[in-house]
Amino acid sequence: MSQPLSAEQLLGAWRRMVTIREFEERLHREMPKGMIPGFTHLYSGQEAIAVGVCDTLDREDVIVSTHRGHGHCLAKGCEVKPMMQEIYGRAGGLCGGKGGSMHIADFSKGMLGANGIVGGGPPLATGAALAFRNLGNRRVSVGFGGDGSANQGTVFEAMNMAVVLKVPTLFVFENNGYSENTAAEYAIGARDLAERCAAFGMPAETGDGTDFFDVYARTRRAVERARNGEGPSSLVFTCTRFFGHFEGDPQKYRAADEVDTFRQTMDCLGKFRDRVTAEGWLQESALQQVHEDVLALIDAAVEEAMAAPLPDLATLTTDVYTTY
Amino acid sequence: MSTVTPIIMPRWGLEMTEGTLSAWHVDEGERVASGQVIMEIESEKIANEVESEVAGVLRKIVVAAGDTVEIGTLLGVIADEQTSDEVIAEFVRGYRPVTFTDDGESETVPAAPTPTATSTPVQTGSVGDSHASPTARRLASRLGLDLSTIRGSGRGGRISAEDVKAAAASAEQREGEGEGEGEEGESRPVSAGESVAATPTARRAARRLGVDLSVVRGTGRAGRISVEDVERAADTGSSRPAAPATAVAPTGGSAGDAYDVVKLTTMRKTIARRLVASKQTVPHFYLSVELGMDALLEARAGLRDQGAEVSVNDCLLKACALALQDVPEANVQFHGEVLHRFRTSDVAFAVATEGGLITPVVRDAERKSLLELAGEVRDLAERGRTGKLAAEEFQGGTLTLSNLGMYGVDAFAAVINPPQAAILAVGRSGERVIVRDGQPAIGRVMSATLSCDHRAIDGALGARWLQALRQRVETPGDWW
Amino acid sequence: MPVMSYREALTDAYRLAMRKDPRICILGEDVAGGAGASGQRNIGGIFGPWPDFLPEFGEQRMIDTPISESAIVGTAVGAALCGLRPVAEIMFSDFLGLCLDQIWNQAAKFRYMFGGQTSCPVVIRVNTGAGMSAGSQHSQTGYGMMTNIPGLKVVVPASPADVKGLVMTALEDPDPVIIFDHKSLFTDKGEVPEGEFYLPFGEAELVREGDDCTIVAISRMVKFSQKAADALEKDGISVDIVNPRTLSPLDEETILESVEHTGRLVVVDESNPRCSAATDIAALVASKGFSSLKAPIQLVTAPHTPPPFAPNLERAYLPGPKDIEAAVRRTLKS
Repeated sequence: MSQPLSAEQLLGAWRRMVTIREFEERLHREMPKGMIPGFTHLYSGQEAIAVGVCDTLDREDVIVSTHRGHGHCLAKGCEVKPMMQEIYGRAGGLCGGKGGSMHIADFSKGMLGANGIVGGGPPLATGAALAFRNLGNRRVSVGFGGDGSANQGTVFEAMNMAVVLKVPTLFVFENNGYSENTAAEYAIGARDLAERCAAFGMPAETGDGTDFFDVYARTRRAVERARNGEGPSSLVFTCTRFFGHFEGDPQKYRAADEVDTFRQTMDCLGKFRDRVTAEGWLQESALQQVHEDVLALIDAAVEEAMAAPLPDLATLTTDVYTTY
Repeated sequence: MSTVTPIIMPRWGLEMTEGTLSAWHVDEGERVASGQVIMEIESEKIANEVESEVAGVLRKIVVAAGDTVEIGTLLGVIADEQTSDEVIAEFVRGYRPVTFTDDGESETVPAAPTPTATSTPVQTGSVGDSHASPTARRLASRLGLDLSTIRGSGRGGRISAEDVKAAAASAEQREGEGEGEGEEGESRPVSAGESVAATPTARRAARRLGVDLSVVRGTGRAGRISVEDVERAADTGSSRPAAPATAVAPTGGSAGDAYDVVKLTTMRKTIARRLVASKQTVPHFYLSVELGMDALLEARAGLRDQGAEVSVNDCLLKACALALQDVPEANVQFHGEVLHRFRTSDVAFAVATEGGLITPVVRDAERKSLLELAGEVRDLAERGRTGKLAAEEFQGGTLTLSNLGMYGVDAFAAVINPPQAAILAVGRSGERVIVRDGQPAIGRVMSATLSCDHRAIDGALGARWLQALRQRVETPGDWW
Repeated sequence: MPVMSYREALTDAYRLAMRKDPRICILGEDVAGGAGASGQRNIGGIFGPWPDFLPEFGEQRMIDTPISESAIVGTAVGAALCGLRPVAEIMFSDFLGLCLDQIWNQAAKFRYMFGGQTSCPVVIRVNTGAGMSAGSQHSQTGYGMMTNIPGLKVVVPASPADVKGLVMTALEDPDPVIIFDHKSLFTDKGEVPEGEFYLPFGEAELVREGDDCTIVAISRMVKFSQKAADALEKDGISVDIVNPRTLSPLDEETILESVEHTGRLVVVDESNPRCSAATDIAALVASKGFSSLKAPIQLVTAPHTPPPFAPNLERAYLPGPKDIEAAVRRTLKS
């Protein structure tokens, strides 16, 4: 296979994937210390999907994310430090500490928000695409969801609406095998999720969510279709998550060795590293250097977040409305 | 940076409040590597090994194996060999556990705006480039404000009407205490939706108290004027637009001995409200004539001789009723977009009572005989004085007759009682030198002033009606 | 001033706004009607608010959707985040249950939880209210529930002029707005200003002035309160009637000032009483205007039952002028 992306693009993809991984691994270590308020859902293991999808998008394109949204944020270009501050509930966070892990947004980057409601986002993606269609600006939207959201009526409605209105959007389902504690195999009545998406009247295919190159290639085709006014598509990517549904989830529903096994066999970072070095597209040393830069950045981000000021109490009542 | 690292009871999940340290895997004084398992923790849901985050020596075990403690509790301390025991002991003594639990104690929120309509300030956004809603533009031009100096709070910094009002209010504040800034010397009619932002109840209060809203400073949302603002303006007299600040400067005298405070009765309040509304919203104009009274007074004397109790006022009322029939265009009420032109002459007359003025209406006055009419007037006036009139007895009519002749008043102009379109004010009948048949003679003459609502009655029409009235008054023989 | 029906005033407002602002589009079930069908295209909307909108504004702006409330509102909300000014039409306010998440957790929350990064200029128009024997699932109001949601503005027009001025304001407002158009008001007539006409949110109308009691009435109940006031006036009882026009923001000031003037309060709302707009207004006056009160507050509402079907039951369910009149008299007796 010829090199699908330039070395610079590949190194960028690596940087984003490693950033997500190390960001989440660090949060996993920080959570028990009690400085991070609320619920946190980590994205470790699924990095190739967020990065593979977002790397096909332009800055003006938009994504709508999920409760497991850190990966999507970082892949779409949100900065590490203000994200970390948001997760710590600090004034300097992307949302001034009023959103938190489940509601990080950065409209300047086309990141229309993580979403605490499973199935809440896809209708918004359809709407964003309607705006692009009516404004005639060739932008596209992506609605992320998991295997859990794939069973929500709101998502079915959003998919049907997108087909009826023929708007430029993508529905990306990350099937990590579990909706909370319940296996996707149990909860999805259809044999094949992609078949079900196709039944709404749009192209739908299943890809390997642990293979950056597979995600990238499939998404790119779907984005192209959307930009050309050919309407929505669905993509289903199989993957796994390395941590629980939320931080503190004892994961008793998973076999004792499942996560350890998957870390060996389904690690998208390992697969990427092996591929790019074997093909001679990138040098191991370059990858290592990026990895070290990322670790330093995350160390600094955590340190700064812990020392950062809390939101001013006066902001409790601001920004409920634009005008009062 | 301290090289002392605390080991704490971790929190695994939101529901975990305490954990049991089931075993230490290292002893006090033993070296540990980063990532080495150092202890086992059990919660209600999970048992797990805990690794050290740092390399160093486990200098101190604070919680013994087997103990159950709250999350966040200090379990042990890792540091290097060089750190003295005193430093370790000090660290343990001074350690404040991380607070995980929400004990329901809320933060003290400073006196911040609450998200309700009345008290939350307008949020400011980015500075707009005169990007404004049409209402904001209209308002700004009316208030003479430069849009480019106003911060927009709308989407994309768009300036809303509220922004303009807020800017106007803050500009007024900046002007300091100087009242009557800028605009008019004359009070403007105030109507809903006009440039002055006020609650409808404040508009009512302003009408009642005769306060010009355009010079009242509003303290409500976006500078909206409340009843309290109006009352304060009325108290301080700051509502009189023409008065310069020096003229109303208080001299420190107390009100106490200067006057008695007389609380308005409901009736007096109603009168005040209605008349202020009339003067503010009805464009009055005035036509004055002198009526020759000789014939009428003679005719009345004749009736009296027959023992009939008929007053001059009764006769005038009848004459008015007939004149309204003669000039039906003047027999109207004004109702916004339409006039109501009446077939019958319903004429009101003013009665002074202790509580104030009341104006009962004589219906179908043109068809009633003078005697009949006189009887009805007496009855209405009497019941008016004793407060026994029904509402419909003083509502309606197109014209009021107001007579102050008995008090020796020569002439005056009266305020229209809407929706009536006119009011006739008559003074006393007095002897004057008049010219009769080219010769000076003494005649009895009465002056009458007709106030007209210009929206319903033009000058020529009013004049025609007065001509008709003169005809009726001066030739009573035709209708007596 | 021209006289128009409520429906004509509503149509006039949206038409003027759409001519002015090309970003406005209307989405909903049958907003044009007849899409893909064998007969006539463009029915003009259910209850007829959109005659000739399809020919004038085209299919891009008059968007017929599937019966899919969650996606109708969700699509409108998403589009509002990306540069349009969509109007989502929900045929009956009872159907808000189908799209509550998109209103409650999405549109109304974005500005706050994203730290003021965005506003969400979406308008949701719903037909509301009882009086047509439409039964339990097509006759409820729901504005009480909506008023409970911070971040959402709630509009309850009571007259043709109201709907025109409030709709035009809503279509320039940066925040999510839900407008409850009462089905039984559509044929009511009244004077409506010509051309662009805006009524500010959070500013009540003092529909009628009096001295003895304040009636705060919502939507269609303003009309019923007028009738009650006419009857009361024959006995020399005069009332203030306050039409809040918007429940969120609520013009607390005017309500409190009116009660300060009259000393008595009757709140009239055809909704179910528990946790309703009526109890909210009563609580406002009880907590901030207690010293003005000369008598206990009276509430005139539907009973705490679903709206019934049979016309006689529905008449009994709905507050009427006589109920309002009686409530005012009760306040005057105590």
